[in-house]
Amino acid sequence: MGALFSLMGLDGWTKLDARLCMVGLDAAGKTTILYKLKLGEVVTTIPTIGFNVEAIEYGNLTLTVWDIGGQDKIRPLWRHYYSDTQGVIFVVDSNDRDRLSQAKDELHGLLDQFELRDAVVLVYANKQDLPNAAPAAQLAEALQLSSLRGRKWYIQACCATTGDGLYEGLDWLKENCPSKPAS
Amino acid sequence: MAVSMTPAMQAEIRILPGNDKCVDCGSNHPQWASVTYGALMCLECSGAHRGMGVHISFVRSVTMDSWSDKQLKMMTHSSNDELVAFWKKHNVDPRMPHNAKYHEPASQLYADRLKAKVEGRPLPTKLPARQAAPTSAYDAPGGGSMSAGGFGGGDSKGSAALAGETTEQYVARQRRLQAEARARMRAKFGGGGAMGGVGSNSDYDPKTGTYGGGGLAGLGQGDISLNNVQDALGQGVGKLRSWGSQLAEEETVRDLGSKTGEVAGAAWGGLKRWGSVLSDKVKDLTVADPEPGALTAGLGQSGLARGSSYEGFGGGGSSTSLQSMGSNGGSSGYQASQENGFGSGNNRLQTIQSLGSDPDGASMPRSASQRSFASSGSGGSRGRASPPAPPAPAQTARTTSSPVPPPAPDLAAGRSASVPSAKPSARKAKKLEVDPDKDFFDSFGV
Repeated sequence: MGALFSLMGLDGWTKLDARLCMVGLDAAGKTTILYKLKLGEVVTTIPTIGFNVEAIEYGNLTLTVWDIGGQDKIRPLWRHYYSDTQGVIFVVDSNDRDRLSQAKDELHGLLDQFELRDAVVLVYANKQDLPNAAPAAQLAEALQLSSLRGRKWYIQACCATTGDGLYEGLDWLKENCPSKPAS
Repeated sequence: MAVSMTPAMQAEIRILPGNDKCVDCGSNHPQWASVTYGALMCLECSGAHRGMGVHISFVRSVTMDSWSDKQLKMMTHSSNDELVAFWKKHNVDPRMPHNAKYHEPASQLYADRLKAKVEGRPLPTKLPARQAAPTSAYDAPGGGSMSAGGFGGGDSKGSAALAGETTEQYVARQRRLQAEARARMRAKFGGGGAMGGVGSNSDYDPKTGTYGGGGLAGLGQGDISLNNVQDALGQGVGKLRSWGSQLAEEETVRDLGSKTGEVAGAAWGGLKRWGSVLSDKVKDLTVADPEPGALTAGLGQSGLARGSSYEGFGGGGSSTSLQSMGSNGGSSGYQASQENGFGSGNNRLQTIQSLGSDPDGASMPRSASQRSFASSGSGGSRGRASPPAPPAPAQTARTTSSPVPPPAPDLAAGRSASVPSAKPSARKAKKLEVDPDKDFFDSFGV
């Protein structure tokens, strides 16, 4: 069916849904990214205790993005959001080099979860405007992304406050995230 | 070893002078801490601290984060009152907005002294050089520079509207702040300030959001210097080797060779301008076809648009690696057809004939002529792929600088443009008509 639409040039009309979890260490910029995508504005954020959820329309794709708080003690709650999730957005503070190994552990830990076995991973290397920010290629190494066998991943440098890089990440998701026709 | 604070530890910290109130705004019972300053603060102020970045203030929750021994020591070796007294001693108003206050040299000195105290080093006494507080849209209301901005209150560098600011002024100010942040990133990354990306699938082209254009292009967009190209070539080969473990080295080189063919093909597109006969030119180019190494050298000498040829390289390199990985079943049909066109490295005529049906115009310049590709119907050759082809690319995708999603009609246009044609050569002719030669040469800096 998709191929037929593709032939007819109509596949841009099919509405697709995807459900995504956005996780990462505390203060990585998850909430700022969510609302920059949703509202196009930089909102003043406070630490997320619990979650925020927004539907973000991008082209013909509607992404339901769950932004889940990243404090140490509430990270075990992430797994309650994993079911029926097609993709994970993992946000890293590129400027926080001291905690990259911790971010790596969290990322690999969550990808070991059974419910995320088919999920694609988009890593946002956020806060690229800050002085000590590590570039995306270096982060890919630090997070050992290449060791993720059989997993589609993409790391995208971005700056949530200017919006640079955010839509490039969504472009990748649009191509790679298994989505289903909107109900 | 990071542990949760026990109630006893919490009590030990809360009992320190001034720790019953937020160090910035004075709210009661602060639950958040800046480890950098050993101070406690409220939820709202912790948001402002987080927005400045961990190099200024590292924030933890007293109850919801785990703490290392060193972090706990930072908290016990300082207190809110101590920090406020230090500010006053250095003529820093503790009621200043966050961004300005924590960029004061006195604040930095306090943080350095605290760290030295905890690490058992001699305490620094010299004030560090004043650094201008960066314009940060992360900032919270009330944070920001006192000196800048002509408005009654608030933060001229923050995301909240200032007192007395009209909507137009607010929008203009936010635009300026974002432009400044972009300038900082541009200074760092060079080029158009576009953000790079790296993925599991090196075939992905972030510029178009599609496959086949250039897997490594995301590493550096915009003005790519020769050094970058060489680095990227090196990285690309490295990636090919690691990802495609079965991939023999000669195959990589052969693949490079095939890409060289693409570049030559692009050059041929330019030569077409003089209306030369197809077969003669093909022969010429085949003879001139350089080694992969010579390719970069040639690029350097002739000042070609390295970005575009570089993309072509990435795309081809990945065709083999993908097949060996087998992770991207979707585009294998396309890859196979590309292999037919390019893989042998001998039949240049075939190589060049398939140029017209190349996915994103292969190594053809992308920027200015992209739209004309799409509208000429040669934008995506993915349709040529066997049935499990991935969704056709939206060639009319917005420019990367625009944070606005493309409107649906654009998408539809892009997709209809990728309807396959049964006659690649016919499409090639059409494309050359529509594709202005000007674009081609512009992009090569000629």
